[in-house]
Order: sequence, then C-alpha cells, then structure tokens
Amino acid sequence: MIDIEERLAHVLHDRAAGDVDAAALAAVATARGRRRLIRRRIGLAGAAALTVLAVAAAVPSLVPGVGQGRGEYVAQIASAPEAPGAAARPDLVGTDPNVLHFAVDPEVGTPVLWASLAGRETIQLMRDGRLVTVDMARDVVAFDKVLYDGVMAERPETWTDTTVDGRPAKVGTAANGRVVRWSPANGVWIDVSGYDETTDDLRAVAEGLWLDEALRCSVPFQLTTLPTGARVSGCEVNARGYPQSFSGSVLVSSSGGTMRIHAEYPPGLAGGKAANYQVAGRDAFLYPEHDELELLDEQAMYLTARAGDKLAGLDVDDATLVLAGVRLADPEDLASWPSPLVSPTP
Amino acid sequence: MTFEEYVASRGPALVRLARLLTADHHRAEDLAQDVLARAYVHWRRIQRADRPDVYVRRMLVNANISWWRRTRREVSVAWVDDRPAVDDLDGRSADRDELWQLIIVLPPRQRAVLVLRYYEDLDDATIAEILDCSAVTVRTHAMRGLATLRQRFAAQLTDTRSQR
Repeated sequence: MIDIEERLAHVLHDRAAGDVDAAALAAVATARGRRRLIRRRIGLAGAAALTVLAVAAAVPSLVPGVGQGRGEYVAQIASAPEAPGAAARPDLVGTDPNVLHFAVDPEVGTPVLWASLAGRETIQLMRDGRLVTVDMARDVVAFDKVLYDGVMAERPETWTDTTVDGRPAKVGTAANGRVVRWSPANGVWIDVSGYDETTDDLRAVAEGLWLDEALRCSVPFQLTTLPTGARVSGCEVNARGYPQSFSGSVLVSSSGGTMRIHAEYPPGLAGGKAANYQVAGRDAFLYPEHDELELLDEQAMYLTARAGDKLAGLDVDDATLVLAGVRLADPEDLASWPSPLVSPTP
Repeated sequence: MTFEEYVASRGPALVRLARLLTADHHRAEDLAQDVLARAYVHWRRIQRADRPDVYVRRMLVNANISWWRRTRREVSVAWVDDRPAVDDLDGRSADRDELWQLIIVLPPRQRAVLVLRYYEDLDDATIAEILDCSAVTVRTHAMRGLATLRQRFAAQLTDTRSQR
C-alpha cells in the first residue's frame, strides 16, 4: 500500500507540472513593478514636491537625493516586503516593535510618522496639508490612551454607523476631532482620526490601507547591549521635518521602567554643553535630574537616553550600558539603516 | 543577481509553487506576477538578503493567505487540466484526483507546509523561516494536515471502490 506521504508527493508534482513562459513572466512582473514605482512617486507629488522644492531653494540639501521626496525616503527605510501584513497574520499586530503590519496607498497620503509600541501600530499621514492618524491594535483598549502631539485624545461622546469596504464601522466625534473605527479582520481594530477631516475623508484613508503589506520600523542606529531582563518594547520614526530633519526612537523596557533611546538629525540642536560624564570613554552630559544622558561627541546625530522620572527603574548605569553599545548608521545613507532594532550578535 | 536573472532562473518554480498554493491555474499566474512586481520594487533590499528565494517565497505564501482571507471563497475546483487523458485501468489517476480535492480544502497554512515539504522538499527550519513561525509549529501543521488527508482519503477510497 502506498503511503500517504508518497502519494502526496506524486500528486503535488503532478499538479504543479506544466510549462511556464519565464520571459513573459519577467516582462509582466517588471512592467507591473515599474507601474508601482511610478504610482508611489505620482501619489506623493502633491504632498511632498512643493515642500521639497521650497526648502531646497533656501537650505542646502542635508540628505542626498532630497529631490526624491519623502515617500521614496519612506520606501527606502521602511519597506518590509518579507513581513506579513495584518490580513495574513492578525495575531502579530502590535507584538513586534520592528514591524508595522500594514502600509498605506501613497495616493491616500504620505507617512510622516510611524511607530509600534504598547500593542499599537501607528502611521501618521500628511494629506493635503493636514495630519491624519491611523492606529491599529488587537484591542480597542489600546486606543484609549493615545496621545496626539502631547494632548490626550478625548473619547468620542457620540458614535454613528458607517461602513468601510462594506464592513460595519463607527464614526466617533469628540471635541478634538473625528475618528472612524472598524475591524477589518478577526481580532484587529483600526482607528483613522483627524482634527478637520470629514467622515468621507477618513473613510477614504481607511479604504486606502494595505493590510497585505508591512512596514519596518527602522532607525539610524542599532542597540547591541541591553540591561539584564530588559527588552525593546517600542519604536518610532518621525519624518515630519524631512528633509531638514528626522528622528528615530527605540523604547527599552524592563519590569522597573522604560527608557527611550533617541537620535535626531541634524545633530546641532543641543550644543554648548560641557561634558560631565563619560560613556565608554566618550564625552557625555548627564542632566541635573538624572533623567537624560546625552552623547556629546557624536558628529552625525544627536543621541540621548531618556527615561521617565529620574530613570525610574532603569538607572544611569543602564543608560550608560545601552548608549555605550549603540551602533550608529550613517543617517544620510538610508540603505545603511540596520534591522532589527537590537543586534542579535554583539 | 539582477531581477531579470532571478525571474529567468527561479520564476517558473515560483509559478508552480503558486499553482499548488492557490489550486487555481490562472490565479497562480496572477499571484506570482504580483509578488514579483512587489519584489521588483524592493529588489535592492531582497538581493542583499542571505537567501532571496526564501524571502520571495515568504511574500508568495503571505500574499496567498491574505487573498484567501479577503475573499473567503470556496477553493475553486475549476482546475484547467491540459494534460492528455490516459487510460486509468488501475484507478491510480482517479485516486490522485481525489487526494488533490482533499489537499485543496486544507487550511492555507497546513497546505503551505505540505507543499513546501513534499513538493519543494524543504526542511522544517526553512519552512519555518518562510512562514515566520517555529519549526515546532511547522511540524504541527504537517501532522494535522497529514492526519486529515489519511482519514478522509481512506474513507473516500473505501466509498469509491465499493461503487466500482
């Protein structure tokens, strides 16, 4: 009697057989790929081109290829074609600070901030000069403590029915904006919110989300050392000021507290300090409250370790350990931005 | 390796894999083209990966699962069979058809594991990398898929042969 595994192998080889025109396949794939690239660039033109041109006239280019636009910057540092989107793996949403399990059609808006922390994945878009925020999580509770520009978002007081992609959704109205909320897949919730957006505007953004793609949260540095028992719990990239400036942050958490490792480009934002501390033989400045430690001699970027109140639970020694092991990438060479956020090897 | 070189050497294998994942000849072509189009956009990053093939296969598996979840349609049995008809005096061809009908209704990740193991001949560690799960999970999917096939195939075989 033929074993099921042997039968299985025969059947699969049988069913997969058949000629494939490799030349035609390459031609179609290349043509489709080129259209995707063009679509990304055209979709960004309205949002990014005017900003880029206006800035380029007044400020020397700080980043190579400034004319490429914010969208291509996003594509270069944030693409993660190998990672599954929320459609394929809803269980992964909010579990990995390295990855956001969705992306946005560039015709809908340009990402200017993206983050994965506290079980929530966030992309903030610039759309016709206004900010729209997309949050995704496996539990709506994760949306309750959202901060927008340092202001706690208010819970909508009224909810009405609408639809997104034919699925039931709710529109919530609060004093500081409007939100469309729905569940596109089992166990996944999405909020699309804005201050001045109409319901139709927010629905248009919602229907322009790509849940079968993923973004990488990639910053211009990599951690190689963590305090015992600590883990990377969050990541944020802020490109609102692109191309003049951008920043990346990584959150390190332990049972005692959370520390934020933050890099900003360009570096000349906090000059004039005299060194009062050393990190692995490098000049540093320990703030009087002992809640922030800054590397002073880093020429390419401004780099600090900052944590809550007086480094609660994570002390100065922990901050020193982490900063001593930071491996910096060239902020102007986007291809050099490392992944993952923590090096698997020292 | 350029994108064109990759498609020339590995493209046909990708389409054949897609045929088994989708159980739909036309959908397989479309899926492979779409995945390769996305790979084209990100080729600079992909070609730097240790194993670009694993990378692209992961894209293919995820794209198929996403499509399956989005459409939630019954797997099409409208399989365009261009092979010439052969006499099937010993019933083996009919048996293979019945087994195929059971394979295509397995959950997508179980089917993906069986295809990657028994068609692509990959080890569990590589399959785990493609599916972004542990090797233990791969073995669990395989075990469950095979158990289902054994049980249903045996039952179907008994029914079919009793009618001959």
